[in-house]
Amino acid sequence: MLVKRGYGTLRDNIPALNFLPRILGKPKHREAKGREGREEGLREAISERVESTTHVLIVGGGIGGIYTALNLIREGVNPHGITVVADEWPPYSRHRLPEALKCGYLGGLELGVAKELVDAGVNVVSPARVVGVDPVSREVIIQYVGKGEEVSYDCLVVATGGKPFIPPIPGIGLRGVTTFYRLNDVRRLLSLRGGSAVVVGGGLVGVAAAISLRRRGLRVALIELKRSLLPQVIDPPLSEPLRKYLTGVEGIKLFLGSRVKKLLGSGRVTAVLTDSGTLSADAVVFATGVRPNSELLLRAGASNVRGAITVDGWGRTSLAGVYALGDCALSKDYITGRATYRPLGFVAAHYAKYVAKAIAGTASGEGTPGVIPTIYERLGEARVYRLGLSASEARSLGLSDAEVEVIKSGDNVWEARILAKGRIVGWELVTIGHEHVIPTATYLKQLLPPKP
Amino acid sequence: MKYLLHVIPEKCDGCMECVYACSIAKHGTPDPLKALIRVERAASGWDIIVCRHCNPAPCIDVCEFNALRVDESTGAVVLNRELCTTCKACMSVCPFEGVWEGCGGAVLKCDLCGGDPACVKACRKGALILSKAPDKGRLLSKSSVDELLRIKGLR
Ligand SMILES: Cc1cc2nc3c(=O)[nH]c(=O)nc-3n(C[C@H](O)[C@H](O)[C@H](O)COP(=O)(O)OP(=O)(O)OC[C@H]3O[C@@H](n4cnc5c(N)ncnc54)[C@H](O)[C@@H]3O)c2cc1C
Repeated sequence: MLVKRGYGTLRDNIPALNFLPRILGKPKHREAKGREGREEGLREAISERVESTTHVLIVGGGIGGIYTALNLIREGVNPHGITVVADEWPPYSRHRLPEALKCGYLGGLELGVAKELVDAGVNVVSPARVVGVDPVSREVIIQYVGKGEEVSYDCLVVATGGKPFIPPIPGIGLRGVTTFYRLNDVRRLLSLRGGSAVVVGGGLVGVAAAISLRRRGLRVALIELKRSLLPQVIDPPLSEPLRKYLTGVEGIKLFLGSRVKKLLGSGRVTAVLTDSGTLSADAVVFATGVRPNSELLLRAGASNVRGAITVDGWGRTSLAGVYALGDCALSKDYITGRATYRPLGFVAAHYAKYVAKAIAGTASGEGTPGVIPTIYERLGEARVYRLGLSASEARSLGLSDAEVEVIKSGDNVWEARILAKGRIVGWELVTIGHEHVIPTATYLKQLLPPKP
Repeated sequence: MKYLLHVIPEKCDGCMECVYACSIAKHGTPDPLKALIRVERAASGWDIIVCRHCNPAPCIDVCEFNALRVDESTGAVVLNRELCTTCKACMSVCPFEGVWEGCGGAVLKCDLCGGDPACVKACRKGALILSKAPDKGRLLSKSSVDELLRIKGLR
């Protein structure tokens, strides 16, 4: 590991840098690779065993980053050769944010693996950001509080996650306007004492946030651009009963097929102007999706599709020695084999295994066969299940004949199979209240490949 | 699929003894919200919600975090909370809702108390049966046939 400048003074000033002595190995001199070199790098045998002194630099301390570090150790890579540069530490699970808001308890968010990694000898550099990558000389620029330095790597893993998307409308800078993405968003929402909240976005995150806010005693309205709820998760025949439940039982005001035009207020938000009227608001929560946080690799010239980094079955990007996974990257769908953008925690964890194998040299073959979505969310008394593809996702992945076959439509249970090209490609279920037996495992088997 | 823990809801009268026993065994206090077993009203009476410790277990198959595994000595499906992130993939494939999210977001799931579950000992109605015997049909009373049929999707 080669630290080029600024090191001495930085270490004295920033406590987090006490980790740094451990990342100082022997300086490694690599010949700068030109364009040819890069392409050659891409073709490098993935079974190339990495020496124990190899320095793996991981950018991002979220799920993708820390589970890659953990899996590298499992694959036999020396923990002292692994550095995680994280702009926030300790890491926490976003998956738990709706429940944390609902209960008003933030103590259960932290990810247990973080401490294990540090104990094992992984070098965590935080708070710090990687602000530049030179894939030719294999160097990154790390920015600490106000200062930077160049650091070399052998393998770079980019797990910089996503960033919440907020539609560009007037008033989003007002106080009381937040996303539902970070711990601090939940802290802010926990400080509300009654009043009304407007949630923008009827996906899983928006609906979960709306329920949690209801449980905290707020009046809640939810606006969704599409005509049905959870449009990315389940198809309209199943989201319709959920709509009834949310309005009837949970008392959430729903505005489907509506657009937010403007946020009103001076200093603090007071109302939301929509094409279905004006809603008063003490808080506005944007749950309008995530986009890849991938500028670092885009600037370095990595192939991408609308900002999501293109990777192969081992998480390798188009840049030699550079891997990407999680919310900043594309992933492969198991059923269609197509690359798609799925910012989900289990997708990041899935790729963390393949990236680790590729770096450790324990890989062979094509890499991942792809990910089968396995989605569950409890929304108040409602439960939403989805395995495989929804009809709308199937169509977007090229299965143009995908259709929803509703197989149960009762008082409390709605179930559908998704059919395309003469076979089952997905399964969806909504229940209100608990059901004794759920046929989910049966469908999982049908979607999975026959065991050889 | 085989199960280690069998639930016979027809025999449950909602007394909650299993829930309290679990919470006391795990936390030393009778707090239903912390218990790893739940009792809820069902369409026809009561239902007990708990992990059956399936073998093979779909939750283990889908966990990308390696947070679930079979304990070799007890055969129980156990959760490593340090590795779990609450992504809920396990919940999406569980036929019994036997894994759920507790207050604050941590995943709650029965660990079979090291092979001698407190809930089974506490249930005086015979609604919970621990059985490693292959011929479990003999152990179960008539009404449990309903359960088995339902498990197999035949009812
Ligand atoms: C409210 C909510 C609920 C969710 N629920 C679920 C769920 O139930 N199941 C599920 O599967 N998924 C869920 N998700 C999605 C899941 O949280 C993400 O897919 C997952 O966190 C992605 O992991 P990641 O490592 O790619 O990104 P993150 O976990 O976001 O981690 C990226 C980290 O990198 C840091 N970083 C970024 N740039 C730099 C840099 N240049 N230098 C240093 N550090 C940097 C970021 O600050 C961040 O800490 C949910 C998301 C939200 C918002």
